[in-house]
Amino acid sequence: MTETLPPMPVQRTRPLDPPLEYDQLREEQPVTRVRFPNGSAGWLVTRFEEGSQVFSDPRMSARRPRHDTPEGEVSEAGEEAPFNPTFVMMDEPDHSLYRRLLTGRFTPKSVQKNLQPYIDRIVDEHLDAIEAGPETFDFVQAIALPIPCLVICELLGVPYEDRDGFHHATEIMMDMANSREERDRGAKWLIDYITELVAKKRATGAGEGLLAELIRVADAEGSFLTDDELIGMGVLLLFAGHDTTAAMMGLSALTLLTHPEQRQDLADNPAKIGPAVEELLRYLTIVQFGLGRVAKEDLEIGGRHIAKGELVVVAMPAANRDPRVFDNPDTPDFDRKMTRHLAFGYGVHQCLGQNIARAELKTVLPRLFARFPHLRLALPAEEVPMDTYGTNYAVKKLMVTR
Amino acid sequence: MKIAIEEDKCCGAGQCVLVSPEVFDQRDEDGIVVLLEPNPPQEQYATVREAAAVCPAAAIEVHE
Ligand code: HEM
Ligand code: SF4
Repeated sequence: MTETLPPMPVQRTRPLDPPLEYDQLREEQPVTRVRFPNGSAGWLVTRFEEGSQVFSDPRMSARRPRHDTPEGEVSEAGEEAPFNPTFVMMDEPDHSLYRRLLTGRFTPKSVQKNLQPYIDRIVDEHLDAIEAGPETFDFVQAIALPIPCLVICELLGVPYEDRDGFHHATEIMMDMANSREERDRGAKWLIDYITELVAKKRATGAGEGLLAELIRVADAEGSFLTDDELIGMGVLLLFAGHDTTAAMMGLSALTLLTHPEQRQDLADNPAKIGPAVEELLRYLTIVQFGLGRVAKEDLEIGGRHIAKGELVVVAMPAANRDPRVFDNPDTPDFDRKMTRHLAFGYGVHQCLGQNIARAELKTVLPRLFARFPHLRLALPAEEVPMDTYGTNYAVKKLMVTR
Repeated sequence: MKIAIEEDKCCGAGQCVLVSPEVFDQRDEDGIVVLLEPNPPQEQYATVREAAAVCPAAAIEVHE
């Protein structure tokens, strides 16, 4: 028996705005039943407060099935992950036990001290290389991809020479235009890669970096961390750490290149870079198909009754454009008074890497436009190829002239 | 104003430290929130309220 339901909106009309159907849903049916892209049924939440509530309610479990996979690929919670998703799919108190193995390396203080000097150096090197290279270049290949790859390699202690392999595997895994078999092949590559790297590090005495620290935790007497979990965490950090930030960097550059007023504002007021990055995160909300949770018991969200076991998806791109919380939500405004947004999620699973992503964006964007004040698109904005099927919305390629 | 933190709830996202560094810090080992000023001076009230509002884990409680 299948319910007749409207589909979750996924098609964009304007490249930087979420599907326009969200505007009507948010006003008329902020918590409503839909059919997800893979054919499963559940609830879609399009308002900010209700979305925040879903993420912070302990009765909502993070152990959820996917909803954004291709047509027909419906599966059970956790079952489709080819690698151990560890704390991403855990609830309290287990989630904290694992996440806290990592949090010390992701605080603003630690990022500032241990990664910022490295970020400063590699960004300048890459800008020098652009200056020495052809006038027209692809911003994705020149900056948006290499910087996050270098940073995650530095953090984890992964050799940067291997970037082509792990980036390619990540792309295959995250592209919802690919079949399950193809995506699993990408994931399998990442698992094999991290497994081998862990073995190598063990053989040579672990050394530096977060992966080595995790190996030491796993190898300690009586440790709860299994090898399967250690490898799962390594895979997770490797792909979550570079693909997201690369997507955000490319789209942020496109946004500034197509919004001269905002670009000028930032050039005139460099101190606005913090608020500007938060606003770009809100405006772009790259996790384009939202995130799911499963009700652990019967409960109510926005006056609707959700039954135990039902899937609830928060459409963060819609919630981050909720006019109840953000005035003129469809315009990027670097003077916006904003307490928080949902681009990194909310609740205890809120992005672990957010301070790293911020550090990279805050370094790259102002330096790029200061160094190349005449930077412009090399083709009409409508012709910039967009990655519409990726879990993270992105530009595939961004040809610009310096 | 009186602030109470619940270490058990903290997920170490560091949002509190970003908005109110005079009042909140994080432990080096595991990123758990550390309260520097349980009774902050009045000029800190606004940022402390903001820190409590941004904390994704509802680990900061403010009594006024
Ligand atoms: C702009 C860039 C980024 C965006 C938009 C982003 C987005 C997100 C979102 C929305 C979540 C919440 C998932 C959920 O609630 O189910 C998340 C979780 C996570 N992110 Fe990010 N992320 C970014 C960068 C990073 C970076 C640089 C890293 C690592 C270095 C990272 C590592 C993680 C991890 C490990 C989690 C799981 C946290 C948990 O379940 O407790 N992310 N991210
Ligand atoms: S914002 Fe909340 S969860 Fe994050 S470090 Fe501060 S108290 Fe902990």
